[in-house]
Amino acid sequence: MNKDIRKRINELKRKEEAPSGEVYQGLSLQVIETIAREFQISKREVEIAALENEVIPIKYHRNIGTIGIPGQRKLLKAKVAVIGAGGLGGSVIELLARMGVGRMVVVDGDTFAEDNLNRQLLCTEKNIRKSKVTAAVGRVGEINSAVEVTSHQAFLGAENVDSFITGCDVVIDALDNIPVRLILQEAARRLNLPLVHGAVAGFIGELMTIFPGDRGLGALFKPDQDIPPTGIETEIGTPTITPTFIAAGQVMEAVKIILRRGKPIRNRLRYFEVEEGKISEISLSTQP
Amino acid sequence: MSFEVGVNLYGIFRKYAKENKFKVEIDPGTSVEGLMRKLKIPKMIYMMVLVNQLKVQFDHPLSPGDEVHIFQPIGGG
Repeated sequence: MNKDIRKRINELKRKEEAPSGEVYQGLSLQVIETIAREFQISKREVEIAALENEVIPIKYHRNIGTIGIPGQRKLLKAKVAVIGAGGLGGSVIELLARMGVGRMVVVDGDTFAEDNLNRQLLCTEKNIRKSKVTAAVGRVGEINSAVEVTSHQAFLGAENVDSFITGCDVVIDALDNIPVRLILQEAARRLNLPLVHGAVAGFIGELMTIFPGDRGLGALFKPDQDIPPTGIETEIGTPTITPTFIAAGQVMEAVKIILRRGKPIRNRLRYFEVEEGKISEISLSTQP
Repeated sequence: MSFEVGVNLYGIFRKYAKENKFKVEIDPGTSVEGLMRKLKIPKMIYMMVLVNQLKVQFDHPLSPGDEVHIFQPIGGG
């Protein structure tokens, strides 16, 4: 770390008192911005430098008790691709920004429609017919401007998927149809990236983390058989509760992977019946 | 000789039985479709059946001790 930056952080840090009475050295939003400007570096870099110096950006203080300073630093250094910025994606993006995941790639070719308002966190009455990824960039900037977002106004396909996810640490499947999910899974496998799958319909959602060697969605959908483009959601729709629930689970999986803690939900489809509060696990074969 | 298989129902399929996980006795040669008929579970467009962790078609013949999971595929985001 540049000594001058460290010195400046130490000059501008201030004592903060947590509700527990614990006193810590904190860095305010304003100070982060000042240091970034002075040294011509990004706010994310200032935050990483602060954490390396045991100074906590105040905005992350309530994360630290759970994930620790090293954990927060790892999140800030991580890069997560979110494929789809609709019901699942909108919530995933919001939560990643608040967790302080430092870099995000957001991919969606769509614009908002009025019938997205019931569930898509990024959709507002004012941005109907406007780009979903533009809304994502704006929202992240409002919540956590240290997060660096790369956006692609494009629908994912076999021809462009590699360019979106290469270099990411984790890929989040927030898509809305099954065939494109299989394209994403194939690319993640080829590029050796962990993929966090989520899908929703009505008050039912599912979640699974797929590592490159896992069979993943291949256990449910075989390319040589008829793959339905969609599931039951085309008939029963999706109220907002379900994508919010599953998105939280997806971000939890991404955080576990980045921090190498806990046990990712692999080779098991975790099936959430939200209305009944039931969570089941359907084991999937790992045999090819 | 009839034999037992395990049945696990999820989501809308729960209503076709008192329990969502139970054993049922079937005759040799019974397929997934035959089991569903016995349980009065209708065939649906959006339906996923796994036997011993693998996706199968409705004509898949069941064997003693098989674990059958019936649920709906979902794809929304």
